[in-house]
Amino acid sequence: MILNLIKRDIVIASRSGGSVLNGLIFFCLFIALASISLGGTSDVLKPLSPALIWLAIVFSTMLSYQNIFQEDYKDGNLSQLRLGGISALNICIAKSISFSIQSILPLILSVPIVAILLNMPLSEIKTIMATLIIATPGLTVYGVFSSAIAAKIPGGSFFIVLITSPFLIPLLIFGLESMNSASDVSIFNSELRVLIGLSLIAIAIGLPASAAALKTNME
Amino acid sequence: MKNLFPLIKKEIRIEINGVSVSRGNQLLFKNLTSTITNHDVVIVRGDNGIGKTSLLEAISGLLTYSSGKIKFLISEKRTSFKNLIAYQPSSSYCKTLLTINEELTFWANIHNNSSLVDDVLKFVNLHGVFNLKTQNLSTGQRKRLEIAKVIITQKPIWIFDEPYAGMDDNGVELIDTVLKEHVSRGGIVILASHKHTKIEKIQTKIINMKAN
Amino acid sequence: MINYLANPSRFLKFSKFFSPFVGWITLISLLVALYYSLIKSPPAEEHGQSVRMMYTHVPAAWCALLAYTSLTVASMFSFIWRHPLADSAAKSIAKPGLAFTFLALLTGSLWGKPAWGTWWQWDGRMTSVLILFFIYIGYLTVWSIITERKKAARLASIIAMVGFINIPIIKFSVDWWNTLHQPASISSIGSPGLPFEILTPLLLMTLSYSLFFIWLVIKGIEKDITKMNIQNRKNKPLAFTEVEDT
Repeated sequence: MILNLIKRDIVIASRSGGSVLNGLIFFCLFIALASISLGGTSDVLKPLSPALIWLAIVFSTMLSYQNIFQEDYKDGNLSQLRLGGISALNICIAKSISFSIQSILPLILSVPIVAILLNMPLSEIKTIMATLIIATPGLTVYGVFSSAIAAKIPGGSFFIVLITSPFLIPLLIFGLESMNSASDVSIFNSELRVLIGLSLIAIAIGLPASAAALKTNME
Repeated sequence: MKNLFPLIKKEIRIEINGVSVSRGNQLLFKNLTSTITNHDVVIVRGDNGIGKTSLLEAISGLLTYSSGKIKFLISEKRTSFKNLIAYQPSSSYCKTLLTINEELTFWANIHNNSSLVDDVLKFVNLHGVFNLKTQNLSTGQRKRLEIAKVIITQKPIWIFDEPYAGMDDNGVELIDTVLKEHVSRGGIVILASHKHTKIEKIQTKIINMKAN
Repeated sequence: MINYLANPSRFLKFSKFFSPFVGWITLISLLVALYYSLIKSPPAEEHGQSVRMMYTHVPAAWCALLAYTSLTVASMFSFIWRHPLADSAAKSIAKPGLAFTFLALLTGSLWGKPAWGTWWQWDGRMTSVLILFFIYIGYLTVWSIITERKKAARLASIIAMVGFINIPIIKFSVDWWNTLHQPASISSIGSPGLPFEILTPLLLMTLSYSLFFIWLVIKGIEKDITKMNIQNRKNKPLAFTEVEDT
């Protein structure tokens, strides 16, 4: 059942001819504009590059949050799924997985290219990819959560960003901190473990909360 | 065609008792009472905006009613609305970028009836165009897809919001035939409509909504 | 007692006599506290008169946290038991809570400039209070954007509860962040052995802030219940239904 939902979302996303690219374009644009406005020299950009990449990912992801539930709510699909006996929790799980694949995965895949443009050393690129992948559940679930709350509100993107931001800040902080204390021996420092914990908490609390919010909106 | 309209052997009852429905903070109507059972054809009539859609949604379980009770019983045992209802709203809920086949197969999988997809497509005459994206359908084709989606749920209670809207005579004929077949096999049909069609020959209840 | 008061009309009767009572106590305690903090207590050695800002800042921060905890409790009641009074309570707690958080940030800033030379610092405490401020704004936005009362109440309660679980996470994360980057701004509040002359006005101000908070909440619930009663009385159905059997 969940697989069917995920498959359908991905098929639609792949045929939508470009809305998936929106996040990607914003990501690259952010990095480009940030680099240009900071002067463009390597000694300025290199220490800032993890932060720039993280910020670009967070902002690009926030842009895509609005599309998670709004369309399905408006055209009546959510009600039909409910009539078909699909639980709100399953819908949220399916949406989380398809959102990660269609919105976050393209961004993460572009990180190595962008990192090279910012002159990041290879070991750092490895670490930042690891932190981003670990933080993905957190980034996804909180987006699903605020999108579920704002499902009924047309043009609720400001509202969604407002609600998600307090929860994304710890992810941002620990994602960047674990990069600072990463060593060549092991990237599993304590900050990374906390990041793992944050993502797990997001799943354990954020998903049921999203399901509750979705159910409330459909009553 | 027989296997698309299964015989409904059990007694199904919808007991609506003193139900009030609100939209937002505005009360639409109160104290609706009625009992609906197998072979019933219920037609909801009323002007635009009076609350027909809200009434249908309340019965379908998609809108919470503010007082009263709606009970669904199979052979006298209480059950949830989820196992019984196929609801077709006035606007189509097709995903525009999917083909007819993909759209119908998706919902068939949700209701565990994927084996019926081909037969249903042939029945509503969409089998020849099953690779057409739903955004490219004519009104008639879209309506036939909606009927297909209702049939494929194989649920006993069918609820339609304005099923005849925009349909030519052939389309109306098809809808009436399908509804009659379903009712004759023991099903329940509840529909809201402005049009007066042959379905009125077998109607068993009319719910009239008038402004206060 | 909560069960007794849980009936909205009983609550209105109760608050009719109780809220002026609380109001007067608040006023008296505030006057006493202000006397102690502005006149009687001595100025601190290094920072001079500006230390008196502490008497507005610390109680505000304390009330902001008190408010959020009670908001979470009210939200739990609202979510689990769907009690309309819990909805009113939650809504009436959040507005003063937001105000106290803003006051804490503002007075902290005004104190920080003369005392430590800076309006703001991205350290643990300040960042997590700022985040708390955003959570309050998000919470109140739900109430104002979503028009259906029951839905707004339920969605807001979900946000409040998820937010509560994140408060320790946020506090934890920014404390950690802070220790790796900047030395913590030294706060004399947590240190034991505050001299009596400073402790007394501090406690008095905290008490009067808390009483003021309670008064605001009771008044808010009163207003909310009254508004709901008026709305219920006006609510006539737009249509009527007739069922014909044929």
